[in-house]
Amino acid sequence: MTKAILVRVWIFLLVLTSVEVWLAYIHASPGVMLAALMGLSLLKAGYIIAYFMHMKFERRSLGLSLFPILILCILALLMLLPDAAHAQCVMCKRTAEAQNSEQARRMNRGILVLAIPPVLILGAILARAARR
Amino acid sequence: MNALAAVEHAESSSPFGIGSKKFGMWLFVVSDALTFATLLVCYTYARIANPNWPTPFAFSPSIVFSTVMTLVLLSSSLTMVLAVHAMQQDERPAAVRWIAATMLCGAVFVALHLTEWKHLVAEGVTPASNPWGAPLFGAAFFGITGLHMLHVTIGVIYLAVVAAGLGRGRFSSEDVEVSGIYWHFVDLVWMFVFPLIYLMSVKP
Repeated sequence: MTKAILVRVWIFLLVLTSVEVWLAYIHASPGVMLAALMGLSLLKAGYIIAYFMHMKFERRSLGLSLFPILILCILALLMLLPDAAHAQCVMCKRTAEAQNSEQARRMNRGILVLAIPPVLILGAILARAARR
Repeated sequence: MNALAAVEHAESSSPFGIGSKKFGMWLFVVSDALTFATLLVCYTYARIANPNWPTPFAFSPSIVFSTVMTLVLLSSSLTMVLAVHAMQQDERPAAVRWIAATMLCGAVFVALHLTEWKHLVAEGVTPASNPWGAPLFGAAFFGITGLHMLHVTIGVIYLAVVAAGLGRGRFSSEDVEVSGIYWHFVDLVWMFVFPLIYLMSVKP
């Protein structure tokens, strides 16, 4: 790895940062801003980890043992956020309860249909693991 | 078996192909990333749950000021990676100079940050109250930026120890790389703190 690549990564990170600051300057709407800022920040984090922290030049086993579990934990944390936006689950349940029994039955059938893909994927993984 | 061969043996027998110091630092970085992730999720939760969350940062001077802080920290990452690069080329004096530049950037960052804290405190923000709205704002702001500032301060001390050791002929290029991983992590955390705390709170 040469110095030129490192300087180029640094300039790229500066450009991404100025895009972020520009979004604040034009007062983009909060939703657009949050999505754009998180996207750009994840991209920046990726470049810092890959080039500055040399992860790109390590064995893949290192990254695979460090990051998936971190991402899983952060996703588990993010599951709390809908609760802050005034209990979406309760609303959903009340709407379902207010409907008549015919619609409730259809909804239950829908849940069963939606359960098929994850069950198949899990089953395939288990079958593969058992065959090894 | 001499020392170098021992290191090479340890690295080739590790499933990750790296020394235990570097692997230890990576484990620390991942666990510390989770600490900051939890704080930032808590901050986001408090912010969504409180409709009167204050957005006190005017584009000029607050956002411009924190942008300068971001540039300083980002540049310190470049000088740090150049120190690691110099050390891998066996240029010890150059590595010490680049580490000194990194420490200078880190110290400037902390100084700028403390100046900003002083202004906010003068405006009446404390961990328990603020003049604008949800009282939790102060605790969240000082908690997250304070923990990050603590990391930068510890990083500057860590780099000072490494630079002093290098000057006396101690430490290998792996040791410099390990300190670099810590320093880049501190920079990486700021890449999330800056948009979430500052840019999302620009005064409308």
